[in-house]
Amino acid sequence: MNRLNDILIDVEMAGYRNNIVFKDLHLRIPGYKITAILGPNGSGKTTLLRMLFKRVKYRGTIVIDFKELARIRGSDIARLLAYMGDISLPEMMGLRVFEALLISRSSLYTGLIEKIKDIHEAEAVMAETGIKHLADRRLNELSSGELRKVVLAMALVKRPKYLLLDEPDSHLDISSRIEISRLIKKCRKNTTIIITTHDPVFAVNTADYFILLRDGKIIDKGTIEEVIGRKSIEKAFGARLKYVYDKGKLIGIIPVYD
Amino acid sequence: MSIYRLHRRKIIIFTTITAVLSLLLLVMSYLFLHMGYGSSTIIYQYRLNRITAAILVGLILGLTGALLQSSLRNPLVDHYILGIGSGGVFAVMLFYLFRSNAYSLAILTIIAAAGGLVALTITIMVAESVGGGDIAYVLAGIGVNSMFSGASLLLSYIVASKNPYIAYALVGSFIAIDPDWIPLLEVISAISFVLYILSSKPLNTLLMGDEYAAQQGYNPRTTRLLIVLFSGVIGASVVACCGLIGFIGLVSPHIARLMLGTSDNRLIPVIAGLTGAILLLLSDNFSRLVLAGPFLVSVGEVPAGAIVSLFGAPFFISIMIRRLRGHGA
Repeated sequence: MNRLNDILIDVEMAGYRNNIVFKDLHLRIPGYKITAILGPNGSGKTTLLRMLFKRVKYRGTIVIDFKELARIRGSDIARLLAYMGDISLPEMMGLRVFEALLISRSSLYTGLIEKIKDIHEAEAVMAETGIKHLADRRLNELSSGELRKVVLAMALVKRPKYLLLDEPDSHLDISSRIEISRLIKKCRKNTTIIITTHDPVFAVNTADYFILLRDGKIIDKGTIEEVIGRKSIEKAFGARLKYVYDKGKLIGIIPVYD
Repeated sequence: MSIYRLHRRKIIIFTTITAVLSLLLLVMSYLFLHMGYGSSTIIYQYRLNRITAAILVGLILGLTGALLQSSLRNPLVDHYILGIGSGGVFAVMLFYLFRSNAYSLAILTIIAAAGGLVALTITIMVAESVGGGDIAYVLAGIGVNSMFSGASLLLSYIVASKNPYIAYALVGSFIAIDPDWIPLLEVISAISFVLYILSSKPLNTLLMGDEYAAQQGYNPRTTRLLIVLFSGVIGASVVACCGLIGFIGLVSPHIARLMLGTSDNRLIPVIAGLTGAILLLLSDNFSRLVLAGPFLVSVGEVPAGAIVSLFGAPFFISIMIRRLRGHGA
């Protein structure tokens, strides 16, 4: 197992000006794997991701790419990782998909004009994510499913070592979720991917490693078998769950309403 | 690749038109100066300065307008709507009130910029205290604008005895242009170009939200604040030269965006600047001719700012209606 690209989080306290989200957070996020941070709304999932690019103040150490995060400059962080949550779409200043991809690459080149390599990279990513036909469309005219794919492409076009995806499955129908999950799994080869979600089914079908959060505390972490064996998903969400197996493979999780 | 080819073609067309226009200007002025009808003094000492000033002011207003709109992520603002220009006019009036003679144009510019800074600070504080939405900025700007223009109007009656041209500062005109303004305007436009080069990449990332800009390595709050302050102050500083000309900074970026079909901040500020230059030059010529000749009543020259508002405001309203309806706001 390659543990070289692990992210180490050793934090006494982290949060916003008058809202401490994490206390005594100790975590190792494995490199070259897909880690799902799973938890209900308000459990600190997004804060955990934002901490990794210095958007949240913390006391302690975070080691990413063998370096202490506090010592990495903003422009180097931009080259190292890509974070994608919701992007804002000002309606009167609509950008086209291809332009958005090139802008996403803008932290990788110096000067105002992109190199031919950046254009090739953007075209390659469009082919990988299957959005070539959307290249000339405006971002604010896309459907939610198309937009999610474009947002994923905007993260991938930086070719980051660390890919942080904040709820890549939000506002999506079932087939789009499956599509996004497939795309995320495709980039696992040389990228450390962290996703947050509150949908256990999406997490189980996408990720290799799970971190369960509730109210800023880690309930459990491990592979899916370990997490299910300790009934941790139930604890994190505070709900009863039924697991559906097909030929020995976990394919679904159903919440029990009572 | 296709989009960028497309852009390149549009940019080439646009720069060709601008180049032809400037060449025409040069040739015409040469012809008039050297083969003219003995009126070269008027052209050389007055008209040429005036034309250059109009071009430079239009350039500065269009460019800073585009920067203000993208940095605030708000298509409804310019230095006039935000009240920055009125703040500048007010400061200039105050200066005339207390010191009537022996001033240098550079000091006047700095005073206008300072007044603009004060107005901008008030607008931002008021708008941010109520959430900082599009409309909040427009409404806060209207408040600040009315306050400072009212105060300037009052002062203009007192100052008029010292400087008879001062009333033109309220509407914006190139009637009383001083040839010494030209080098100063050139410096200001050079500064605004530097600002454009430094800010176009961060502005592009800010378009897609604060978190997005942060992961691209820019601190969204400080970046936005710096760009807004600098472009606002530059927009206010030209008020000292030609008075308050609204709508150029508002309409030019929209025309640029419509023309190029993009909002890439590496292109828009420059094209908006060129558009602003053309628009203001046309308005200034129009203002000189429209009521001077035999067409209507012959009252001589009218202020260019009035012409700009006359054509700019309806144009802006039409853009607003079309865009807002089209995208189901």
